[in-house]
Amino acid sequence: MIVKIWKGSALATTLVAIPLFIIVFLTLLCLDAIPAYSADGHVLDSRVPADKLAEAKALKSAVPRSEKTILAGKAIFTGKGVCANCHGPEGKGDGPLAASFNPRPRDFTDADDLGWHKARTDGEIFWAISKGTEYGMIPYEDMLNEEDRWALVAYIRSLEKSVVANHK
Amino acid sequence: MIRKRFFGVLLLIGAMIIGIPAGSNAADEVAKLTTAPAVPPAITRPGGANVSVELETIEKKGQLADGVDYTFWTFNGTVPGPFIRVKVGDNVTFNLKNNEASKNPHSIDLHAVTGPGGGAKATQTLPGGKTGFFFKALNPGIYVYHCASSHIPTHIANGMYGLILVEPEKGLPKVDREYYVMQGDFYTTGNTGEKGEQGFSVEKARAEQPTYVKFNAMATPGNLKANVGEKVRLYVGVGGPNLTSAFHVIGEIFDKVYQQGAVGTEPAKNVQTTSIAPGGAAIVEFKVDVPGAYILVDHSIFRAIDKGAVAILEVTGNEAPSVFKPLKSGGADSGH
Repeated sequence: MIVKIWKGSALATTLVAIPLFIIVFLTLLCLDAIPAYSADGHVLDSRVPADKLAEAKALKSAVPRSEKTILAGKAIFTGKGVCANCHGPEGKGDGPLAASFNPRPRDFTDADDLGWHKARTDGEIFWAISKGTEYGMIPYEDMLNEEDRWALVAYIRSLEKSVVANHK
Repeated sequence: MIRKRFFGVLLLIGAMIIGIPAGSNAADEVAKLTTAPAVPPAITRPGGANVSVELETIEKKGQLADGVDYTFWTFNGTVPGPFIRVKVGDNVTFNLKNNEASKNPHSIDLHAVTGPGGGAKATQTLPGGKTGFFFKALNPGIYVYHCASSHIPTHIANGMYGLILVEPEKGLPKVDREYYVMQGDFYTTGNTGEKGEQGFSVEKARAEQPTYVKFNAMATPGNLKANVGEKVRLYVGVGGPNLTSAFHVIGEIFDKVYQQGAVGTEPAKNVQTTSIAPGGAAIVEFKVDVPGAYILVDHSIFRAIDKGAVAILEVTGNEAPSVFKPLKSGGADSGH
């Protein structure tokens, strides 16, 4: 008897809980409270180790941000840095080698509006370029000089969808 | 005082001429490299020499099978990369160049190296760049080297591996023939046998379902050769990236196997098939007694018959009926 009652109440609770959960989830999704993660569930997490985060955040560009710096960064991105091979010629994370990575290489345009650009400082991006990441980004600190790496940061920043839109 | 200075300068110049540059390792010799299946000659000098090794990473089109084109990623333009031979105690200066036409950064992790990443961290090299590092060959053995640039499995799957032998101080026992064989598994976008230009399928690679399994995928073509009565030594490596080889030579028994490439241990004797893991190698030795074509296979046999893991050792010489002879022909009247 007790078991029967328990079973009955459990069923009722489940029947109520499922639609309730769906309604709450959809509401939160509409309110942008739940990011629409796709391939990379950690896209907004910093790639810098916790004990180095303060140091990375404090890093400031060695070169002034300008159209010239952005163009220099673009030339490295699509040229000698071979960044485009993974990140794609337009930085959309869709280069020829992109499929090999899980999660995929970062989409610098942030086409899905995940707010990645706002979540990261220039210093953290510079750190990821310099030291590499656990997701497959190789360290560039011995391959590109500091000026080149900051130029890449400038170019990556210029790829953000809203920045590109403002340019038009 | 002036005389003292004069002698000091003279000593310095003398030291420079006779080569005592403190703290550096100027190379006494450049390691002779060979393309599979060839192996450089045994090293007769003692260990401890300053040796330089020069490799270049090259992305290059080749043929994976008849009519099947594939862009391999290579060391020195071959798959496997060159065979490197040094001696225990050698001081090795390793130089890596990445060809300027490469589309990817490349690097090298030599399993013979004691140090971070086996050299991988020191050799991340952009196209057109050069890097290098020094290492002391501390442990004798046969070791795999491979590219260790991200995405590492893709670099290996495209053919970036080879073998380095660190000879023990007294060398290995003398044999008549030495050959270099390395197995790799390949993952094409098309099915096995599909003609034309084939891309790399990362999905098949992740699922560990190769379309081809090859020995010496893009090296010097032709059979291995030996004469009846000769002792043959095979350095057999597996680049992978995924498959462990059940290495076997049809019609032969390995007299000796240095399993897992463990030179310095007593070799196993009388072995039919030896397991070689990806990133691993073994040395097998056998005397050839009977003429014929001896087929090297991965005895996970679909890989051999259907996917290409086959090579031939051609043995010529007099028949040896005391060891082997056919008794009847296979014709209709032969009783079968």
